Parts: sequence; structure tokens; C-alpha cells
Amino acid sequence: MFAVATAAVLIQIAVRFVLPEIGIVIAAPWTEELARYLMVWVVFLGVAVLLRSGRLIAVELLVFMVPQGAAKVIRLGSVAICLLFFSIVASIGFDWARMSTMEVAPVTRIAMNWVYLAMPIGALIAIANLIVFGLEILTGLDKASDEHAEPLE
Amino acid sequence: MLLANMLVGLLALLAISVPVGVAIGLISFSGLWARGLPMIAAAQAVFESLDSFALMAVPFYILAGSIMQAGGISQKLVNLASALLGWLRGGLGAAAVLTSMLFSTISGSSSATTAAVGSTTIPAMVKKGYPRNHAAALVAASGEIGVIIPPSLPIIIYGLVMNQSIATLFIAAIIPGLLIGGTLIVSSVALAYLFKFDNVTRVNPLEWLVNVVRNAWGALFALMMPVIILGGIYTGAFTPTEAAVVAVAYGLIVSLFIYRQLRWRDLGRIFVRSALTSAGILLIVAFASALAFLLTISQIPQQIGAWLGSLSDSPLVFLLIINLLLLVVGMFMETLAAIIILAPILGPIATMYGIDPIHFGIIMVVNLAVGMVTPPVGVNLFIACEVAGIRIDQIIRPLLILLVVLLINILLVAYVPALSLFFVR
Repeated sequence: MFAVATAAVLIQIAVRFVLPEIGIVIAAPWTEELARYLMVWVVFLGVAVLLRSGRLIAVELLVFMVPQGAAKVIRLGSVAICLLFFSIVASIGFDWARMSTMEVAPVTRIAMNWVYLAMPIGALIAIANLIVFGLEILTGLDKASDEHAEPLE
Repeated sequence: MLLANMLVGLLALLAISVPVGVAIGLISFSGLWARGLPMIAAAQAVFESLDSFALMAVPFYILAGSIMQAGGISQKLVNLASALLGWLRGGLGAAAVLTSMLFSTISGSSSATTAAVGSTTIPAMVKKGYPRNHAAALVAASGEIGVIIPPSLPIIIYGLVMNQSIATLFIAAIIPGLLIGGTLIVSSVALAYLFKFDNVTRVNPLEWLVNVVRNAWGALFALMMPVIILGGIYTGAFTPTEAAVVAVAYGLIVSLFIYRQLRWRDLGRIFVRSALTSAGILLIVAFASALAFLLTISQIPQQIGAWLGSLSDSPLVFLLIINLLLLVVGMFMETLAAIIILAPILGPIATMYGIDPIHFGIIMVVNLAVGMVTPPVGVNLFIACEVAGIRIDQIIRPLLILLVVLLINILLVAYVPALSLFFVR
């Protein structure tokens, strides 16, 4: 888990050190391309990290309004739906990556596979995290992990 | 039929607390599947929306905002605003609104603005005798300025989706932002007279001036930020995304070396948090794009356009319908998702009625922003209530008055195009 987060940071920092170059030296198109692809990775890895503790933006009004037992059922249902969703994402993501093995990025000549793979790999990690999170809801452990999870803006 | 099914499905998923991005994605997958289209089309739409240099402005403005907040810059802005307006009756509330306006110039989201401003101003207001719910309502309402005064994440998204210049949109949003802030400041003073709290504090003019100058000096580096961002964009020196990176670099230098409030070891935490916040937002953007793609190939914009067109020929009536629609949508829907899905549907119709696309973008953002201050899905309300330590139902009464003020602002922005287009022409 932490490794994933750290990887995301490293990518983020890399993006940030790369980018100012665009502001200063405009003739460095590879930085823009690299930054864009890194952002794709950050999004899918970040989503996977957020799912681990149920911190994706959601409307939780109903969960707060109904009694504890019912809330648990609703949240488990929501986790199950997320599992279904990310399984679909993973499968079409792999399909797509397989179809585009020949493509390379225009400037950096990176195989586009490396970029497209962000989606299915992020989805796979998301699935693993969702299963753990679902088990935590079942056992009531998630309340404990809520406390040290930092709230997002 | 398809539209109705999708709408019901979406609301049902959202109701059982399925994350917004997942709900939208699932609906677009099932829509594609129902129409027998290849699923890869969705993956392509998702990828194309993310693979955009302009969209990267979003994570960078989020990062710039959290650096500024951690670097003690919000406190400096609060000090300046209180020095300026604190002596008025209701002055501390007015200062909170002004702080929101100042903070909006470095932050592009309304929830970040509410959190940053609320955490310092709500306790101060309570200490000065404001009822807790009044203080919270005021901060929640003024937090919406965060998405109106540039930089603004919803405006960036509108510009991307509608292929309009983000720089022009930013400039068009300035006067509406000042208008909303100004009217909220007046409301704060009026409320204090009405409910008799926060008396006038007498200060002599010289002392006041000295205090203002001293605090303005202290906040100088924070105040330079909008000058750099907007000036850079306006003169064409850099694009909005580059401006965001400049803001990050500037924020880092000021917080690390000048104010020295930020330590190197806090940086990791800030980067992780911003990356995660961005990922959460961009997931919604990505899958909302897939849904918008589905709607477009299903010709739903044309159908809705024809239907709206049959209602009335008058742009005035059209605007009223749009305002009502956006308000209701804003109450239930995440702002960015609403823009990605609705702007391609409504924008062309608005153009048919002779409404400028830049003006229309501002109308959309101002409308949807109010949704952040209304239950059931009002992020600002949740944050303000949490900071103030009150329940959601307690904030409603003082909020109603402020909502009326915001609605009047919406009508002004919608029916007086000059407010948005004055600097643009």
C-alpha cells in the first residue's frame, strides 16, 4: 500500500520537476508528453489507493441516515458494485492494451502499451484493495483505519 | 428511453453511496452495452480525456492550494482581511468572506477554500459572539467563490469540454466573483445588525491604516500570486497549466524559504494528499467523458435541444429554464461531472439563442456552485459544519438568507451579460 503511494509521489514529483522546463525551455516537447502519461498513471494508481479506505468522492447521506446494520449492508453493496466496475475496467483495459501493441508515443517513442496499461493495472490493484476494504467493513475493522486516514479536500 | 433508464440507474447508484466516478462509469458501460457498441470506445474516451495537457492544470492548482495552505498563507490572508474590515458591525464575518475571495485567487476549488478559510475564521467568529450556525453558513456560502474567482477547476473543465479559451473564461469570471463576494460581505453586515451580534469596534483611522499596511506587507507574497497567475495568463506569457506549475513553484519558494512555515519533510505528505485528491476528481472527469461520448452518439443533445426549443423562443425564458435545471442538477450532482455531461448538451442550444459561449460557461459555473452550498450533496456544508461542530440541520436556517442572496447573484450574472463579458471584449 505504502509502496503504491510512494510510487505515486515519486511520479508526481517527477512530473513537477519536469514541467517547469516547459515554462522556461519551450523546445522540450518530450516533457509535456511524459507529464501527460505520468498523470494518467497517477490517476489510476491514486484511485486504487483511495478505494482502500473508501475515500472516493461519494454521496454518503443515506449511509449516515439509516441504522448501523443497514448502513453496513449498503456499504458492502457499494463495494460489490465497485468490484464489478473495476473488473470491467481491467478486462477492457487489457483488451485495449493488447490491441495497441504496435503504437508508440510520437515524441518519446515510449510504447503506448506502457501508458494504456495504467488503466487495467490500476483496476487490478483497486480490486485487491476493495476486497480488503470489504472484509474490513464486515469485521468492523474499518472504523479503526478511518482515524489515521487523512481527510481529503 | 435510454436517457430515463440511465438517469434512474445513476441516481440509484449514487443513493447507495457508490463513488460518483464509478457510478458514472458503470452507467456509460451499460449504455454502450445496451446499444451493442464496443466497450473499448469507453476506454478510449476515458484515456483521451485524461491525456490532455490542459487538464493537468487541475492537479497543479490543487497542489498549489495545499502548499499555500500548509505554508501559513491562509492565516496571513485572514489577518489582512480582519485588519481591513474587522471594525465594522459584522466585520469579522465580512472579513471571512474577503479571505475566501483572496484565497480563491490561489485555489480553484470551493471545498478547499471552505476548509482553509473556515478552520481559522469560524473559531474566531464564535469567540466574538457569532452564533455557531451563522458563522458556518457564512463560510460555506462564501466558499463557493473558490470556483468562481480564477483559477477555477470547473471553469478549466468547461473550457476543455467546450473548446473555449480557459484564459478568456478566467477573465470573464472576475466581475461575477467580485459581485458575489461583495454581496455576501454586505449580507454579513446586515445579518449582524438584524440579529445583534459583533458590535462596531471603534478604531482610530491612523491605527487602522497602520494595521492594514502592516498586514498587507505580511501577506505581500500571497497577494502577488494572483498577479503572477492572471497577469501571466492575460499577457499570454503562459498557458493556464503552466501558470499552475508556476504557482506551485512560487508557493514552494515562499513557504519554504520566505515564510519558513513549511518544512521539507511535510512536502511528501502534501504531494501524496494532492495526488490522491486529484485522482479522485479526475476519475470523475474521465468517466463523465465516457458518458458524454455515449450521450453524443445517441443524439441526446439534439433531442433535448429540440424539446427545449419547442418550449419557448425567448432567450430570457430559456435562461430561466437553464438556471432552474442547473440549480437542481447542482444539488444532486458533482459539479465537474455535471459540466462534462451537460455543457455539450446545453452549450449548442444556448448559442442558438444567441448566448455567448463564454457567458454561458460563467452562468453554468455560478449556478452549479450554489449546489455546493445546498443539501443533500453540498460539500461546503459538510466541511463548514464539521469545522464548526454542528449538525447539518442546524446550519439550514441562517443559510436560507444567504442562499437568497446567491440566487439574486445568479439572476444578475445570467441576465446581465456585460458582467461576464466586460473585460473580454
